[in-house]
Amino acid sequence: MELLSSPRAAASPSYEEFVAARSGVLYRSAYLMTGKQADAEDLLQTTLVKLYLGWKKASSADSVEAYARRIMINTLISGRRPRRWHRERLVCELPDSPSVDRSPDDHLELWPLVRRLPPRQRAVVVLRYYEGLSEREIADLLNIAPGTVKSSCSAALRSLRGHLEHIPTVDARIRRGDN
Amino acid sequence: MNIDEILSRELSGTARGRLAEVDTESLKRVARREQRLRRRIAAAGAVLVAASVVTCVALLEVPDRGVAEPPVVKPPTVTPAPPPKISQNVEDMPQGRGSMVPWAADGVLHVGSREITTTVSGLKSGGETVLVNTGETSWSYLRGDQLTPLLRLDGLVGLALSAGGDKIAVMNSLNNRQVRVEVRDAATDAAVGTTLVNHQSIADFQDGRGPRPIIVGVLDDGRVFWSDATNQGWLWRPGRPPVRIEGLQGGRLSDFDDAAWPGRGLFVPAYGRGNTRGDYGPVTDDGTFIPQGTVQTNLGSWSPDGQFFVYDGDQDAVPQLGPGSRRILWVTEPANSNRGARLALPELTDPGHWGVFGWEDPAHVILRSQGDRLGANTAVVLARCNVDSRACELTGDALPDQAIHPD
Repeated sequence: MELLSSPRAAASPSYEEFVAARSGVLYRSAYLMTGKQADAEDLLQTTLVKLYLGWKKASSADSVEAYARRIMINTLISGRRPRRWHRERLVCELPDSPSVDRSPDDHLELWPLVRRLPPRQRAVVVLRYYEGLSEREIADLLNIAPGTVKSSCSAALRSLRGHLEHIPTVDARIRRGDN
Repeated sequence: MNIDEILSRELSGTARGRLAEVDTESLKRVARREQRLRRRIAAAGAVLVAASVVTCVALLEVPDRGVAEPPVVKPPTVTPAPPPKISQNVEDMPQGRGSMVPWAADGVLHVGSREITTTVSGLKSGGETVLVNTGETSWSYLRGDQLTPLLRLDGLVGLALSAGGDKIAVMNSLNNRQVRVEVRDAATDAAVGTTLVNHQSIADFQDGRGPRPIIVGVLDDGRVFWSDATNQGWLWRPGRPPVRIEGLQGGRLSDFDDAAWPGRGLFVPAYGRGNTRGDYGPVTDDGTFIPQGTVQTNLGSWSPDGQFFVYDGDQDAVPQLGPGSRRILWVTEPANSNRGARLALPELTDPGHWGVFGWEDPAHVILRSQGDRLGANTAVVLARCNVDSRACELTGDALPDQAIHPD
């Protein structure tokens, strides 16, 4: 994963530059972690607002993006997203995008199940299988022990497999694989 | 295909193509609101805790002789956040990044780290837009490192750039009875709308007699406010007819030169020129001015969004002019309170003084220090203050005192 680093150098991005460069990436992660467009927009907004408030600290971190992701995941897991922020829509889909959430259930098999995972497990799955982070990197990002990452990931996969037993085609494909 | 592969494929496919448009300025506004709210909650919480302690103590001390009157607990009052630490000397201030406010000196225009060789006699900047006055009535856009002249500036009477840099309002004199006001899109220089203003007394201002029309300001949505040669104020939204401003004291602007049209309202000086207080408030689409607060002086600088006002004052935040002034800078939020809060800048020794150099964004003002022990009125040191937290830092820029900066 390409992280926008800020190695305490003169080349540190400004807040505006960071938002312009990385908000799209963060939004896609937020979407996967929340499973809903509106919630993803709220999560992204909350993350970027908190990032702005803590910009002095964030900009001196080794990686601004990792700092922002930590904010995002902590916000997701804590579930504290003030209701009042729902009144102000600062992000939106571009006009050529669908105005409502796509329904992935029609053509995706695991995604609907990922959406139903508990927040921490969902975050671990997204970081592991979408961002491609290692268990160590996820542990550093979430500030938890690698063992906790491993157990969260195992629990998530166990849950997904359990649900998949009710989807014959996927179950068959997975049974044909190594899992 | 195993579950890992299916997960990777489906998550990537689901995320692909999802785009977000983020308005950074809106985020900052929300952040500042949140910051204020946190402070107020913290302050109210502290008062509540103190009140609870008082209550408990009071109940414990009630003598055992019947029912005691319940203690009166005053509702929590909101107190401002504690002021940031103020350095004793300029040299002791923390160091921050370089200023993004453009400036020019010795035939070189400086925009961040870029340097463009050009004649500069005036500057306007807002958002990403920089307008350069290259002589008399010649104005150009700075596009990359190139200057692109603005079109149709003959008979220029006034020119204004919106705070976010989206729109330009140009006022041209067509003849001795007519002025044209045009709003242009700054990105394309294309006209968004044009209206003609007739004057009976237009010849007077051209002859140097009487008031002259002036563009007080333009907003990013294209709304323009101007005053005509009779000191009537007008609001115009392109696509609609101009409407006369109602609700001004005496029905007219007392001095249009010192009026201001920052983002969210109109500032109208109460009296003529000089240091005078004034009213501040929004203007409805039908032209009604609704005074919302009072600003103690007309000599100061509004933040681009009109939320904050920075001015010079004495130790008690009273606006001060003349010798010894401009030693302390104060900031107010006119829509909420006219009480000044001190920016964390060291007080300079007379004749040293601080002045506003420009705004980087609605939350950050760049100030110039001159005449301190830094070079006998020749060196200029820039500082950046967050008008919300009032914390200040040096930008590391050093420039000559004749440097031109945005007006």
